Amino acid sequence: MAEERQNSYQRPSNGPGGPRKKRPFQRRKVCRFCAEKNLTIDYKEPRTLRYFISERGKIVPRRISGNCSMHQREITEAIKRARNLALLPVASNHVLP
Amino acid sequence: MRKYETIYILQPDLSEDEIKVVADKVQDVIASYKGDFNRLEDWGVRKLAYPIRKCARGRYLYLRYDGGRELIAELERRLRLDEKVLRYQSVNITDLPEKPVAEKKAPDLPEAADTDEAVEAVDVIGETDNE
Repeated sequence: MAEERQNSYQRPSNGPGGPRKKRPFQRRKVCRFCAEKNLTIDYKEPRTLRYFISERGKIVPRRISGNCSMHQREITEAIKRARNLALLPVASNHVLP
Repeated sequence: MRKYETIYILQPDLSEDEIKVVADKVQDVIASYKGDFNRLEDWGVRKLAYPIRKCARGRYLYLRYDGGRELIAELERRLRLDEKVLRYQSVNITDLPEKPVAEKKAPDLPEAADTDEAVEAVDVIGETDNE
Protein backbone atom coordinates (compact mmCIF):
# COMPACT_ATOMS: atom_id res chain seq x y z
CA MET A 1 0.00 0.00 0.00
CA ALA A 2 2.70 2.46 0.89
CA GLU A 3 5.84 1.26 -0.76
CA GLU A 4 5.15 2.59 -4.23
CA ARG A 5 5.57 6.14 -3.07
CA GLN A 6 9.18 5.63 -2.22
CA ASN A 7 10.02 4.90 -5.83
CA SER A 8 8.68 8.19 -7.11
CA TYR A 9 9.81 10.38 -4.26
CA GLN A 10 13.27 11.76 -4.39
CA ARG A 11 14.74 13.25 -1.32
CA PRO A 12 16.11 16.70 -2.14
CA SER A 13 19.80 16.60 -1.45
CA ASN A 14 21.70 19.50 -0.06
CA GLY A 15 24.00 19.97 -2.99
CA PRO A 16 26.53 22.70 -3.13
CA GLY A 17 25.06 26.20 -3.11
CA GLY A 18 21.36 26.04 -3.25
CA PRO A 19 18.55 25.91 -0.80
CA ARG A 20 16.47 22.79 -0.54
CA LYS A 21 14.05 22.17 -3.35
CA LYS A 22 10.40 22.05 -2.66
CA ARG A 23 9.10 18.51 -2.46
CA PRO A 24 7.93 17.12 -5.78
CA PHE A 25 4.54 16.21 -4.37
CA GLN A 26 2.49 17.54 -1.55
CA ARG A 27 1.00 15.55 1.25
CA ARG A 28 -2.72 15.72 0.75
CA LYS A 29 -3.91 12.83 2.82
CA VAL A 30 -5.88 13.58 5.90
CA CYS A 31 -5.57 11.62 9.05
CA ARG A 32 -8.26 9.02 8.86
CA PHE A 33 -8.84 9.14 12.58
CA CYS A 34 -9.31 12.88 12.66
CA ALA A 35 -11.67 12.71 9.73
CA GLU A 36 -13.88 10.04 11.21
CA LYS A 37 -14.39 10.45 14.90
CA ASN A 38 -15.76 7.03 15.70
CA LEU A 39 -12.73 5.13 14.49
CA THR A 40 -10.96 3.97 17.59
CA ILE A 41 -7.41 2.82 17.95
CA ASP A 42 -7.38 -0.32 20.03
CA TYR A 43 -4.48 -2.66 20.52
CA LYS A 44 -6.93 -5.54 20.74
CA GLU A 45 -8.03 -5.18 17.13
CA PRO A 46 -5.20 -6.27 14.89
CA ARG A 47 -7.30 -5.89 11.77
CA THR A 48 -7.39 -2.11 11.95
CA LEU A 49 -3.76 -1.96 12.99
CA ARG A 50 -2.73 -4.13 10.09
CA TYR A 51 -2.91 -1.18 7.72
CA PHE A 52 -0.18 0.56 9.62
CA ILE A 53 2.47 -2.11 9.51
CA SER A 54 4.42 -3.06 6.45
CA GLU A 55 4.57 -6.60 5.14
CA ARG A 56 7.75 -7.09 7.10
CA GLY A 57 5.99 -6.04 10.25
CA LYS A 58 7.53 -2.59 10.57
CA ILE A 59 5.49 0.40 11.62
CA VAL A 60 4.65 2.62 8.68
CA PRO A 61 5.95 6.16 9.09
CA ARG A 62 3.58 9.05 9.38
CA ARG A 63 4.46 10.59 6.06
CA ILE A 64 3.26 7.47 4.34
CA SER A 65 0.23 6.66 6.41
CA GLY A 66 -1.00 10.23 6.58
CA ASN A 67 -1.81 10.24 10.26
CA CYS A 68 -1.58 13.28 12.40
CA SER A 69 1.04 13.25 15.11
CA MET A 70 -1.29 12.45 17.97
CA HIS A 71 -2.86 9.50 16.24
CA GLN A 72 0.44 8.24 14.99
CA ARG A 73 1.65 8.09 18.57
CA GLU A 74 -1.46 6.21 19.59
CA ILE A 75 -1.08 3.83 16.70
CA THR A 76 2.52 3.18 17.60
CA GLU A 77 1.67 2.46 21.20
CA ALA A 78 -1.16 0.16 20.15
CA ILE A 79 1.05 -1.71 17.71
CA LYS A 80 3.71 -2.24 20.33
CA ARG A 81 1.15 -3.55 22.79
CA ALA A 82 -0.31 -5.85 20.19
CA ARG A 83 3.15 -7.11 19.32
CA ASN A 84 3.69 -7.97 22.93
CA LEU A 85 0.57 -10.10 22.88
CA ALA A 86 1.53 -11.83 19.63
CA LEU A 87 -1.43 -10.27 17.84
CA LEU A 88 0.91 -8.62 15.38
CA PRO A 89 4.26 -9.84 14.12
CA VAL A 90 7.48 -8.37 15.36
CA ALA A 91 10.02 -9.52 12.80
CA SER A 92 9.94 -10.15 9.10
CA ASN A 93 9.86 -13.92 9.44
CA HIS A 94 6.82 -13.89 11.66
CA VAL A 95 3.37 -14.47 10.27
CA LEU A 96 0.28 -12.40 10.49
CA PRO A 97 -2.21 -14.38 12.55
CA MET B 1 -10.18 2.81 41.99
CA ARG B 2 -8.56 2.46 38.68
CA LYS B 3 -9.87 0.46 35.79
CA TYR B 4 -7.65 -2.19 34.34
CA GLU B 5 -7.81 -4.79 31.69
CA THR B 6 -5.44 -7.69 31.57
CA ILE B 7 -4.97 -10.10 28.74
CA TYR B 8 -3.14 -13.27 29.48
CA ILE B 9 -2.24 -16.08 27.18
CA LEU B 10 -2.39 -19.66 28.35
CA GLN B 11 -0.92 -22.73 26.78
CA PRO B 12 -3.27 -23.96 24.07
CA ASP B 13 -3.71 -27.53 25.16
CA LEU B 14 -5.06 -27.10 28.65
CA SER B 15 -8.11 -28.88 29.91
CA GLU B 16 -11.19 -27.04 31.06
CA ASP B 17 -10.30 -27.67 34.69
CA GLU B 18 -6.92 -26.11 34.39
CA ILE B 19 -8.35 -23.05 32.72
CA LYS B 20 -10.84 -22.80 35.52
CA VAL B 21 -8.08 -23.08 38.09
CA VAL B 22 -6.34 -20.07 36.65
CA ALA B 23 -9.61 -18.18 36.39
CA ASP B 24 -10.43 -18.91 40.01
CA LYS B 25 -7.02 -17.89 41.16
CA VAL B 26 -7.34 -14.61 39.35
CA GLN B 27 -10.75 -13.91 40.79
CA ASP B 28 -9.56 -14.78 44.28
CA VAL B 29 -6.79 -12.26 44.00
CA ILE B 30 -9.22 -9.60 42.87
CA ALA B 31 -11.62 -10.38 45.66
CA SER B 32 -8.98 -10.51 48.36
CA TYR B 33 -7.69 -7.08 47.45
CA LYS B 34 -11.24 -5.72 47.35
CA GLY B 35 -11.27 -5.11 43.67
CA ASP B 36 -14.28 -5.03 41.42
CA PHE B 37 -14.33 -7.92 39.08
CA ASN B 38 -16.12 -6.96 35.89
CA ARG B 39 -15.80 -9.74 33.36
CA LEU B 40 -13.59 -12.51 32.14
CA GLU B 41 -13.82 -13.50 28.50
CA ASP B 42 -12.27 -16.45 26.81
CA TRP B 43 -11.32 -15.64 23.29
CA GLY B 44 -10.36 -19.19 22.59
CA VAL B 45 -7.29 -20.59 20.99
CA ARG B 46 -5.64 -18.39 18.40
CA LYS B 47 -2.64 -18.63 16.21
CA LEU B 48 0.16 -16.50 17.56
CA ALA B 49 2.11 -14.16 15.35
CA TYR B 50 5.32 -15.69 16.64
CA PRO B 51 5.97 -18.75 18.77
CA ILE B 52 6.07 -18.13 22.48
CA ARG B 53 7.90 -20.81 24.40
CA LYS B 54 7.68 -23.05 21.37
CA CYS B 55 3.88 -22.84 21.25
CA ALA B 56 2.44 -21.66 17.97
CA ARG B 57 -1.05 -21.14 19.38
CA GLY B 58 -2.38 -19.83 22.62
CA ARG B 59 -5.56 -19.34 24.50
CA TYR B 60 -6.41 -15.72 25.08
CA LEU B 61 -8.27 -14.58 28.14
CA TYR B 62 -9.46 -11.07 28.69
CA LEU B 63 -9.99 -9.83 32.19
CA ARG B 64 -11.57 -6.56 33.10
CA TYR B 65 -11.59 -5.28 36.66
CA ASP B 66 -11.18 -2.27 38.91
CA GLY B 67 -8.71 -2.06 41.68
CA GLY B 68 -5.80 -0.39 43.30
CA ARG B 69 -2.10 -0.55 42.84
CA GLU B 70 -1.47 -3.46 45.14
CA LEU B 71 -4.04 -5.53 43.35
CA ILE B 72 -2.44 -5.27 40.00
CA ALA B 73 1.04 -5.88 41.39
CA GLU B 74 -0.13 -9.03 43.11
CA LEU B 75 -2.09 -10.20 40.10
CA GLU B 76 0.87 -9.85 37.79
CA ARG B 77 3.10 -11.56 40.28
CA ARG B 78 0.76 -14.52 40.41
CA LEU B 79 0.52 -14.71 36.66
CA ARG B 80 4.26 -14.58 36.34
CA LEU B 81 4.67 -17.49 38.70
CA ASP B 82 2.19 -19.71 36.93
CA GLU B 83 3.88 -21.83 34.32
CA LYS B 84 0.78 -22.23 32.22
CA VAL B 85 0.60 -18.51 31.56
CA LEU B 86 2.73 -17.73 28.56
CA ARG B 87 2.35 -13.99 28.63
CA TYR B 88 0.27 -11.31 30.26
CA GLN B 89 -0.25 -7.64 29.74
CA SER B 90 -2.20 -5.18 31.83
CA VAL B 91 -3.43 -1.84 30.66
CA ASN B 92 -4.77 1.00 32.73
CA ILE B 93 -7.97 2.17 31.05
CA THR B 94 -9.16 4.57 33.69
CA ASP B 95 -9.03 7.55 31.41
CA LEU B 96 -10.36 6.00 28.28
CA PRO B 97 -14.08 6.22 27.53
CA GLU B 98 -15.91 3.05 28.31
CA LYS B 99 -16.42 1.01 25.20
CA PRO B 100 -19.47 -1.15 24.53
CA VAL B 101 -19.19 -4.73 25.65
CA ALA B 102 -19.66 -6.29 22.22
CA GLU B 103 -16.01 -6.33 21.28
CA LYS B 104 -15.00 -9.88 20.70
CA LYS B 105 -12.55 -11.00 18.13
CA ALA B 106 -14.24 -14.27 17.36
CA PRO B 107 -14.89 -13.60 13.64
CA ASP B 108 -11.27 -13.81 12.54
CA LEU B 109 -10.36 -17.07 14.19
CA PRO B 110 -9.75 -19.60 11.44
CA GLU B 111 -8.82 -22.52 13.65
CA ALA B 112 -10.72 -21.78 16.80
CA ALA B 113 -11.83 -24.96 18.47
CA ASP B 114 -15.24 -24.76 20.14
CA THR B 115 -14.98 -21.08 20.85
CA ASP B 116 -18.65 -20.70 21.64
CA GLU B 117 -18.60 -23.44 24.17
CA ALA B 118 -15.61 -22.06 25.93
CA VAL B 119 -17.02 -18.56 25.95
CA GLU B 120 -20.31 -19.80 27.38
CA ALA B 121 -18.59 -21.67 30.13
CA VAL B 122 -16.40 -18.82 31.19
CA ASP B 123 -18.83 -16.01 30.72
CA VAL B 124 -21.31 -17.65 33.03
CA ILE B 125 -18.72 -17.73 35.76
CA GLY B 126 -17.80 -14.15 35.64
CA GLU B 127 -20.18 -11.60 34.31
CA THR B 128 -21.07 -8.86 36.72
CA ASP B 129 -22.26 -5.56 35.43
CA ASN B 130 -20.97 -2.81 37.62
CA GLU B 131 -21.04 0.01 35.17
